[in-house]
Amino acid sequence: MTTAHKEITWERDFDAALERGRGKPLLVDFSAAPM
Amino acid sequence: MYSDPRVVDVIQQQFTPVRVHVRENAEEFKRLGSRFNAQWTPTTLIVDSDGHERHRIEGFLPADDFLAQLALGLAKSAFARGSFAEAEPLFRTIVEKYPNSDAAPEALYWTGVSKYKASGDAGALGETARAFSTRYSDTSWAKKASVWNK
Repeated sequence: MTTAHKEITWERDFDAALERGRGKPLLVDFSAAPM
Repeated sequence: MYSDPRVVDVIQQQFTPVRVHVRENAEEFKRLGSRFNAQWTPTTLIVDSDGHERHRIEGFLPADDFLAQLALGLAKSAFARGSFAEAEPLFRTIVEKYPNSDAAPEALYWTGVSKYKASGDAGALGETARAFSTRYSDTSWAKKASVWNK
């Protein structure tokens, strides 16, 4: 049996995410992690 | 820290996650890095819907410490909106849930401030100062609260 691997669904467009809102704060990750 | 399923759940449920990658999205990294003065990776910002930064996490953290910092960011966002009655239990929960994190003494300090701001009762500050006499007494937050200990 395998366990489902959870991953974050990252958005790439800061301005669009900010404008869309949804009432949630943005978590902005400045990253150099392997993609 | 982003591989921990608890971290994934908190971020997906409570934030809109945006990744700005130093190589894959270099122009955006440069533009937003300048706007928010982010000079290092990983730098994680919690940004309110009005575009204001409310909390900053620089460098890698183990999952529990990172979760505590995310909770601190949400509590600070409520405080910055002037929602002090909402902020108080958010700060208090950090102390209860992550008592050994670096975020805990800061959260204890702001628990007292939020309670005072919500109620106008200065006794909340003295109560917080006394709480620092039994825990986190060697932190800068205990020093800041010491002025309330009368």
